[in-house]
Amino acid sequence: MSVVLGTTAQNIVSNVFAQHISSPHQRFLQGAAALAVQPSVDYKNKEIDDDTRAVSVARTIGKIVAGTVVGVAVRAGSIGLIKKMSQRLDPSEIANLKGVQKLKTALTLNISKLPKHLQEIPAATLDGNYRDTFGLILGTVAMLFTNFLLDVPLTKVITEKLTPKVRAKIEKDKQGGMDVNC
Amino acid sequence: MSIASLVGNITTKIGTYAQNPGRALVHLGALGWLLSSAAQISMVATNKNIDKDKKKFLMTHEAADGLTNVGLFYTICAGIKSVADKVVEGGLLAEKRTSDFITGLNRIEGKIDGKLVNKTVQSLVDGGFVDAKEAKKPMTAIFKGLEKFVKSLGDKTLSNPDELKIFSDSFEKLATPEARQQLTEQVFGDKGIKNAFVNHKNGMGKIAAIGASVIATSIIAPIVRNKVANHFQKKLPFEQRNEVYGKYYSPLLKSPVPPVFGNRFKI
Repeated sequence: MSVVLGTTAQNIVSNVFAQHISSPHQRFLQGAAALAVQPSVDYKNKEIDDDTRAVSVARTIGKIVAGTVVGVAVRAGSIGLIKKMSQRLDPSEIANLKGVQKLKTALTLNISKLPKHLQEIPAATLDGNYRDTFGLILGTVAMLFTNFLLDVPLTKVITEKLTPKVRAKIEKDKQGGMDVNC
Repeated sequence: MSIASLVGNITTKIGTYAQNPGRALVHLGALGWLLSSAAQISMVATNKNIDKDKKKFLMTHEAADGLTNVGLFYTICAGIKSVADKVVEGGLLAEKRTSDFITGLNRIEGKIDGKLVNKTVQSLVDGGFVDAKEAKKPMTAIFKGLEKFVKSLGDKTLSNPDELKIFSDSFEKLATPEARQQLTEQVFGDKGIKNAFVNHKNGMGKIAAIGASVIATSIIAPIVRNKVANHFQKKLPFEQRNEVYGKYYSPLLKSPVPPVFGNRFKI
């Protein structure tokens, strides 16, 4: 048995995912799924006192939001940087590059050095995959530092801002529950 | 070796590796988890405020936590990605132009299926155009074998289907150099069927890798990590837990009291 994709589904697979989706989108989706699941699990945990529960929920949201925002930004920034440094220019344009302008082609992929079976793939596809992967490698290294420098303080700020709000929501829910019981 | 040739070698290696983008997302995602865990362990190891016994305990916990994260992420993502690759390579989830092309080649109506894909590959293996190892990726092997097969015909003009031996059903598409040139462009050109298949495979690979990573990191890993944390928590007397996890715990990625512990006792 075989399934042949319809036009819309094929467009999503071959154009949207294959050409335009990469690690920043992956990180965003991970964050969105985590945000949909984890805070509510913490919120429903009635085994702990309300104060701990409020901090726990706020902290979970803070970590997810900070991790996602920084993660997406670092990955997208790294891919953007590699893109700027791997431009495919004409030989005449390359000859006219001077000083720092030479960085525009410093990391350009030399397709003629790739294995033969890959050379048949269009340059735009090869370049797109190359830039996404090189950017992700760069981003992975960069995140060793941004974890310390950005994630931690951002998580702290979000947690502090959210804790009173979550606490108020817990109180409100409790009062609502009492009214119903009464 | 000059810097330029070193950079050239690195870009070529990355460029080659990058052409299976789903695999790259899985590998580099796992590497990210690994580096993050290594950073956690090194934070604890270099913290002078933690005494030796507690340091040993926290580092063991961090290592177990890291192993859980990396192990779950990699096994789930690599497993799902591998299944997706097999489904696409076996022709079970096909792209329309590829499906039409393979059925046309065998003069069969309807969609391709696993049997037809395997039969086509087997013809190429029997003819010596694909080896058995390459046949493990059937669709890729068909494109590769077909290219070799067409080249093997050279400039010959064939007069009857028996001369072709394989793909005799497609005699009219392969009989003359002109017809073969047309077929080559249709299949191997920039907008050809082979590249449509490559895009299809890359897209499916990314969907599998991204979907699996969402399931692994956002749903399964937190549940398993809770169990690992419980195991370590139970090793400590209650009065020591807040001291060990509350006061000294790495501020890098987790809370002073990690969420998994925050659910278990007061801050």
